[in-house]
Amino acid sequence: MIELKNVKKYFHPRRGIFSSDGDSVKAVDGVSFTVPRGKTFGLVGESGCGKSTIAKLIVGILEPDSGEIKCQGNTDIVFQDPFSSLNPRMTIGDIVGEPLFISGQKRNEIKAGVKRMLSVVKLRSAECIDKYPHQFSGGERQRIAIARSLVRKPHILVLDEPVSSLDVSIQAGILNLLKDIQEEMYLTYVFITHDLRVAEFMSDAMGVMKEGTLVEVASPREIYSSPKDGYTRQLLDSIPKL
Amino acid sequence: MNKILEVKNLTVMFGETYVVDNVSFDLEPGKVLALVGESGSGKTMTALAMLDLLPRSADHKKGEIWFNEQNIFDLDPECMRKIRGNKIAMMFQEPFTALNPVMRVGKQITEAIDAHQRRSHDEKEGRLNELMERVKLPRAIAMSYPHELSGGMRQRIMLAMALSCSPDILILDEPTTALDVSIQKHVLDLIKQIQETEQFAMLFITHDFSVVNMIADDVCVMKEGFVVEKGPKDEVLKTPKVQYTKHLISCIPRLGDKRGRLPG
Ligand SMILES: Nc1ncnc2c1ncn2[C@@H]1O[C@H](COP(=O)(O)OP(=O)(O)OP(=O)(O)O)[C@@H](O)[C@H]1O
Ligand SMILES: Nc1ncnc2c1ncn2[C@@H]1O[C@H](COP(=O)(O)OP(=O)(O)OP(=O)(O)O)[C@@H](O)[C@H]1O
Ligand SMILES: [Mg+2]
Ligand SMILES: [Mg+2]
Repeated sequence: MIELKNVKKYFHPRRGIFSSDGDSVKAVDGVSFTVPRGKTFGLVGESGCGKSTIAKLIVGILEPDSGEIKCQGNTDIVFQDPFSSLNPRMTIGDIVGEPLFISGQKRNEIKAGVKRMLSVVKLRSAECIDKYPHQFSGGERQRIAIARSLVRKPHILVLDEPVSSLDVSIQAGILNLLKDIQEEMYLTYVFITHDLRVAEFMSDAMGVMKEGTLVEVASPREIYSSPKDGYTRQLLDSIPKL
Repeated sequence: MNKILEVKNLTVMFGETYVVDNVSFDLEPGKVLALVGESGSGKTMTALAMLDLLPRSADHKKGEIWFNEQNIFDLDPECMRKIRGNKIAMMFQEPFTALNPVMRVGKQITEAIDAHQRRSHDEKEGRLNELMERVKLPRAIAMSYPHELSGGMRQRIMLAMALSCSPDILILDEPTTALDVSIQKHVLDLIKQIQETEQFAMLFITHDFSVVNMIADDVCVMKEGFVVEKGPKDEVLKTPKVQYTKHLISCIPRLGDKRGRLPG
């Protein structure tokens, strides 16, 4: 379970060495929501509205200025920018296998675990395990980051735009997989996306964010059939049609 | 047809592995060619080849890339530097790694201008204001460092940098992956609009067919390093010839069709 109560996080830009001019950025400005265990909370909203900041607050990379964050169980995050979160000096085998190594598993168990997870994200493990992050394409790196998190089996997983650079076919595979694993292990997800179609597919409840606050929280069905907030409506109107 | 750039039988290998395999296409001024295909199909490597920026470990490359009656692969590094970012500009797929972490983003944009053009301080400031406005970012954001920006903001800074020198060819590698639909639409409309006035040629890399529909004139579909289908947008989207293209189009999730699982 995840519980956020009136959480605030402001950034104070320091422009000069001594002076601090410029207004502070209210990245998260009084956000509250609860995600029951085993459920997915989808977070959508315009660029810069504070979604990634919430993600970092939930997993404890950032401390809130005020408010309360409660998480039951261990947390993990798949970052929006996969490349900067993968250690450039570690091979993919080590990156994905590290959580198993830390938990004290034997070598052959680790190898098997890594192989299984890589094939699940549709990467050919034999060709991958000895390569380094820079030797992969953008979407492949995104999948490596997802594989690592799933190996860790956290109770709470925050996914920040995890499938944004994946084509629909691989995207579908990974979204289905996330749902399967969730059912099997009763994981709790916070799923950040700018794609309302993906949000609808994944979420039990959704929050629409704007300028640091949640302007609407409801089930995807309610949000899409009768959006209350003007901004939500605007988002819905701009979904490209094919 | 007046081509501005011609890719002929481009092949790129890492050791024994072909990542781009005999790829050919042309770019025309004022036109948008969308390069689509699954993750790992060779889209980024094709684009990097056009700027002669392939990783050094890509030890075999074959083929020709003709720009202004010159083969890019024959140019010396000095000539290539003058073209890169100036005549041919690229917005990279991962904005965070492409930006300098210790320099304010506005300064990075003006430095991109400095690299190729002699402009006065005021001209550069004017151009910076114009670019920030175009990508819909408040002017004050120019004073930020990359880590202080959100993913979508960084993406738009990269776009401003790519536009800064008014290139003849603009390569955009997944330029809207971190943008919500309303900003995405704005950015795409804007790119189209700038393109219509400046008439540059564009290579637009994406995995998203709804984006292709919004922006492209022609489409080139890649799979495992090969071009499997190529043609005008309407033809490829409405009557795809290859099973692979049909499959990619059929997988697009639509709002309202609440399926338990997505076809994959
Ligand atoms: N370390 C930081 N220092 C200063 N400002 C920051 C920092 N991190 C984020 N911000 C600011 O906080 C606001 C929210 O950023 P955040 O990354 O949470 O947005 P986001 O909703 O994830 O956007 P996107 O969809 O573009 O990724 C932005 O205005 C950003 O500039
Ligand atoms: N430095 C490298 N060494 C070895 N192989 C590499 C290297 N860089 C990329 N590759 C491989 O080349 C292939 C094509 O990569 P490319 O980056 O062009 O894919 P892409 O079509 O852009 O994919 P994405 O949509 O995921 O970004 C991939 O399979 C990738 O693993
Ligand atoms: Mg973000
Ligand atoms: Mg790529």
